[in-house]
Amino acid sequence: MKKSKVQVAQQLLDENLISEKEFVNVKAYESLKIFSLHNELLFLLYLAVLLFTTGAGILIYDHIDTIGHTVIMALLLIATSVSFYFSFKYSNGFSRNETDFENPVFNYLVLSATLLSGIFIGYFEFQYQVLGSAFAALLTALVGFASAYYFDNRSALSIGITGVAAAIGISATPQALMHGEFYDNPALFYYGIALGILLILWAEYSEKNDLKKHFTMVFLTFALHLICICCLTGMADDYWPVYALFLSAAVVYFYRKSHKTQAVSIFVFVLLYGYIGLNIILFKMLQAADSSAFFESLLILSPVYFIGSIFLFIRSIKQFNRKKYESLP
Amino acid sequence: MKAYHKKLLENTFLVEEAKSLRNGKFISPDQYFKIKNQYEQLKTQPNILVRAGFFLLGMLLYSSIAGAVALFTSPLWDRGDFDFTVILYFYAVIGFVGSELLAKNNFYNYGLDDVFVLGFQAMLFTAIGFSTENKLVVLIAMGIVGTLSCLRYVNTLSALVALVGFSGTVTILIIDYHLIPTAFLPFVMLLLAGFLYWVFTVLKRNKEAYFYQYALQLLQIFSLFLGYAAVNYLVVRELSGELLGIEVKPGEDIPFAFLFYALTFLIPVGYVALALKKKSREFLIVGLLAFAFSIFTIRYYYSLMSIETALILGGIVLSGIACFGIFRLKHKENGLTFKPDRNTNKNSLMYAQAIIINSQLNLPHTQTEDPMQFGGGGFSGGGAGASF
Repeated sequence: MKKSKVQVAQQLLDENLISEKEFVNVKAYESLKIFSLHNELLFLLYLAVLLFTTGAGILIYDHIDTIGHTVIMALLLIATSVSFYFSFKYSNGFSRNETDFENPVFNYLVLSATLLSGIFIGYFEFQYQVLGSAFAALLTALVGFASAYYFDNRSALSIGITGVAAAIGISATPQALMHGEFYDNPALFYYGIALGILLILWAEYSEKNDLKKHFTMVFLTFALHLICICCLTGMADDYWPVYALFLSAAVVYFYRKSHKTQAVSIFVFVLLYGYIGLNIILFKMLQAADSSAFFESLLILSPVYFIGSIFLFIRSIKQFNRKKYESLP
Repeated sequence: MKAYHKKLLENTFLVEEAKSLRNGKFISPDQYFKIKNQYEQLKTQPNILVRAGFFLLGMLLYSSIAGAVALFTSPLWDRGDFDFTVILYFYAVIGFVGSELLAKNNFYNYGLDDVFVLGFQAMLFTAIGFSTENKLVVLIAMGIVGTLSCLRYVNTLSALVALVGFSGTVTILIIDYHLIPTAFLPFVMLLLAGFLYWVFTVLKRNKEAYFYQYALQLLQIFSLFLGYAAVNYLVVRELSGELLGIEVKPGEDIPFAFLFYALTFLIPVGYVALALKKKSREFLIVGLLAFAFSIFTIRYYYSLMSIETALILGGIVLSGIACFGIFRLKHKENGLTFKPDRNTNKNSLMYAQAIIINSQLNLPHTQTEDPMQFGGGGFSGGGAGASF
């Protein structure tokens, strides 16, 4: 079975690749026999927040127009305020850098406060319709961003970005992407791309001005998927060259960015989107050239094409990894 | 037996362990690169995303080769006496040759080799299925070929194929061949799970086990899941309706119902208790998942409360348990603790949570203009473009 860390360290020590001191460190740490439940317990807490807020959301919409609904709204408001009150009380205050509560449990209190206020705003809008749904979504987004920046909470940031996207009419959730129901109408492609560019600009601005630098990855991930999926979907359109241009610009930008930040998750998806885009263009060209005439030779050549692409991909990954080693301190 | 050079495989594992020492900040990145350069290794992709990407590319390659072969052999297809399973066997041979070639070139857990190793097995089992039209033969073949591929290519997913084959064989022997009365099927599966776990404990002491540690981990997790699923009330009741034709009328229940109810809850609780005692993450995760499924089992047959009450109550109880655990373990320095392990990454949990929260949101989204019928057709069209 698996070798213990001590065995590995011993082997490396024998080969003179690590020092005696490091070996002793490993041995001392292993002798504590740590079995950490850190991630498991926090994930349970996270699950609890999701269950609770989902239940609260259903409860409210089920009791619309009944006598109890003002009571439920009042309860919701109280729960939100209490959550926010304790979050503020135990927070270390705003910081431009990464900060955390002393007790990570409060991160989940912030999350539930944000989600509950989202439910409250959504319900308020549904019942009284004073704001307009776009404005309600924006308001939710505002709460999300405020919590994200004040309490340093990535999940709240995710809520904020999704809220902005919803305000302009895009449902930027993974399910929507999976089911291909990303957009209701083509005009939204441009909005999506514009929002993506906005996110990139904000990420760049934050990086330059040292404002929550560790949020950059979240912004870039959203921007990458938003822009690239917009472009790829748009390439089925009549104006596909426009989208192809946007896509290639995005691919170049994100490819460089992934090299610079050493972000594998961005690097892989850039290659994937770029490759799909390239194949769509090739397909369109073949279509234009009436490929049925040489369909058979295409079929025979296709393995060669894929082997060629695999070689190119292996090369680009090697390049990426080489850079990774150089850039590390 | 192994397709790879033993020394290279050993080095690959050693460098991987050195990497985890680096992640735990026991050694510096510089030292890690020195170690990495010191040892000659196999070509491997530890990053799961990159590996998945290569898996995708490998599938495109395999299917394009299959397409080209189909084109060459198409004149044969029109002949009346042509047996098309020959083509399937031929595809399997191509996959096997591909696996051997990749292993010769030192590709190990790269994504590409996984495609060919799993692909040739899938083709072989399909071919056997068509030519024998016998489930039992296919399952036995899965057990044997899966084990052999796992041993030869040190391929973890092949172990899963083998395990499905073995447990499938036992099931079919009982259901279709009535080796023993079908009512005992759950207990036989429970015994099988125990047997598999025993095999795991024996094999892990073998000195070759070092190379197959992931396959063995899979064996352990599989046996735990099988042990739970075999006696879960929902599984037993639905399957006895489906496979054995037992119909449960109102006011009646399946045989041994009480036993199954009890085991549905006792097993997950037992797993979690054992996990804390043995400090085993495998037991813990399987136990927690099994417990969640047990709650689903009960809700499936009895709706004790409305869904929203259940969700809210569940949330409160769960957060109570989590907070209790956190406060209990917070100040412990060794053993069972809440202190983050130096060897695990905290950031990935936070990113995962940020993504999941996004999928849970249900924001009202606005309609800016009149919605046109414009679905995902374009996108799936793009997918087709990629494969030809």
